[in-house]
Amino acid sequence: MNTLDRLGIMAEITRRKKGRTGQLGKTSLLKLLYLLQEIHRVPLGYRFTLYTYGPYDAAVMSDIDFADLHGVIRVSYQQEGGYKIEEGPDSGRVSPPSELNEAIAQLVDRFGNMTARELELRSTIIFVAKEARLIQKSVKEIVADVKPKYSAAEIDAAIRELQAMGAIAVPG
Amino acid sequence: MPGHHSIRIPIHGFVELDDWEWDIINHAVFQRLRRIRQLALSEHVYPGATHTRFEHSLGVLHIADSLFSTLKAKHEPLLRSAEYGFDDESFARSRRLVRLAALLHDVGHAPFSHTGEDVMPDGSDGQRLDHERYSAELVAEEMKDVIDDHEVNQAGLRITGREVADFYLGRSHIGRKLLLWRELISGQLDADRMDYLLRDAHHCGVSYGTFDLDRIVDTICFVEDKSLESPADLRIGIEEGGTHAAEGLILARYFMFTQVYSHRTRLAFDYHAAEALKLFLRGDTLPTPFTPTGREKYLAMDDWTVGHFIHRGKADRHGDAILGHRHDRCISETSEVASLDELRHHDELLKRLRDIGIDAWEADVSRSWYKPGPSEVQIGQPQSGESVRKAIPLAQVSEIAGRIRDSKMKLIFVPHDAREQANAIKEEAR
Repeated sequence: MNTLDRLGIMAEITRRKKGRTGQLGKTSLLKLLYLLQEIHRVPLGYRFTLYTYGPYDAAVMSDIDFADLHGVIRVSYQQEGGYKIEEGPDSGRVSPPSELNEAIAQLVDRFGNMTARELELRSTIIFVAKEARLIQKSVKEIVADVKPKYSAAEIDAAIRELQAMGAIAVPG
Repeated sequence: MPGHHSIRIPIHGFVELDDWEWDIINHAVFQRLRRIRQLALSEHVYPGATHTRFEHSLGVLHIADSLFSTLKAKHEPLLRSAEYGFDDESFARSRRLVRLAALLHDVGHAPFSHTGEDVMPDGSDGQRLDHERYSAELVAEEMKDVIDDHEVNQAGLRITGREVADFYLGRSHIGRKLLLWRELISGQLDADRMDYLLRDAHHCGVSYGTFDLDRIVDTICFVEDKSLESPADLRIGIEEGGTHAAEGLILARYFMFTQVYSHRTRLAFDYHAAEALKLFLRGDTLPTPFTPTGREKYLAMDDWTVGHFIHRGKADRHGDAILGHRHDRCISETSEVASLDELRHHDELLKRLRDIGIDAWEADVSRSWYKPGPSEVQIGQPQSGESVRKAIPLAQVSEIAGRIRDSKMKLIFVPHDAREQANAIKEEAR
């Protein structure tokens, strides 16, 4: 997928996120793109690997920066920390490939009201679930170790939710 | 660590190794790196750039160990607290894994380094493999004798090659303790990047890549992102006092990117090298790293074997370009940070050239392994009553760093003999 298409996807997510709860920032946009690639199988071409702060690929930050530079989105740093992303004045200059509109709409319907913290947990679970098939540990066990800031109840609930939507197939 | 050996390399002087590491670097898989040049055919632009992945890997070990030592010294009480649970053994294990991952992270490089990655097969997830995946399989499967079974290891930590691989790939089951150190091997402040900037600049004979490594090592620290957006765990940053050193690192990245890594002629020779490699492979991809036979075949390939193929005149026009320094020419390029219109114009021109039968190709530097920015480096600001500093993005405290953008530059190249015709088409399109 080329840069313009990825920018179009960012613009569309930002548009659809408008009016929903939970601020859209760099972290939450990155996690949404991760979920779009992993759950909805949209071949964005990012290579996410795991850090203490969850699945990450610097190429996403590069695209966010590029989209901001060209007015596709507007990124502003908040005094209390973190970034806020809004629709840019030139968001209409790019659009996602039309066949992806449904996937983006579904993504935002499912995850668009979540905070960055909630998205970080869900993206980590999906990342772990892909790898847990290969080793003798449960998803819950690994997530609890990697992300101790989430309670067991939070992890359980998020795993059940992702299983219910078919995003992960493995037992929790 | 038992035994003492040292090897002197440019930039860092003596790199200290113990018996175990000494045996690892003398293993055939590691020795192959003497025959993989760090910057492929960049000597066509910078004649001094003939250094190898062997030298670089030693440099990465040296820096990674220094960074680890600083972090441990600064944060030992926190890391030993109940929250993190480090003890002498887990510190020793972490340090050893950091050293081994730094040393071995590049053993999977293809002939001509990153250039060869264009010819790697797809993985099970449909994405093309990269040298890190090859490194992982080679370390885990082909170096068992010198990692898993080594007497120093057997008498101590009992680390496996697979554990080393899982650590630098960032597999989730390695757990939080090891993930803490992963940014030293792969991240915004990793030892790999710090070494290659300094080393490539040194061998290219340019001063762009220099920055204050000592200050970076001295000011590296764990920071905590307490923003509302993402209350994260510890990550690696630079103390406020090292802000200018961090800026120096970012500027070094930017200048090396613009002056060396995305140099037009270098990009042209990368292309010829990749095309020569495809001919060497008879149109196939590189052998898979997931089978013994594939790994054996892969390890038999290096710059020398493909170079011999080129020298024998088997690489068609790409071999001629390399041997005769008659490379394809750039006829169009966007700005460093291309505008949306430039990107569209680029695509149209490339299509037009191909439609009339010119063997045109594009270099998309946004796909390059080397990146100039943007800076996601975190600066640690003291917070009262807390032992860990608060993370602030460098781009928010540094006017200079905040202005450096990642490049989305695209260039179009055509064969030497097609330049005039291509330029005429370009003028028409304008």
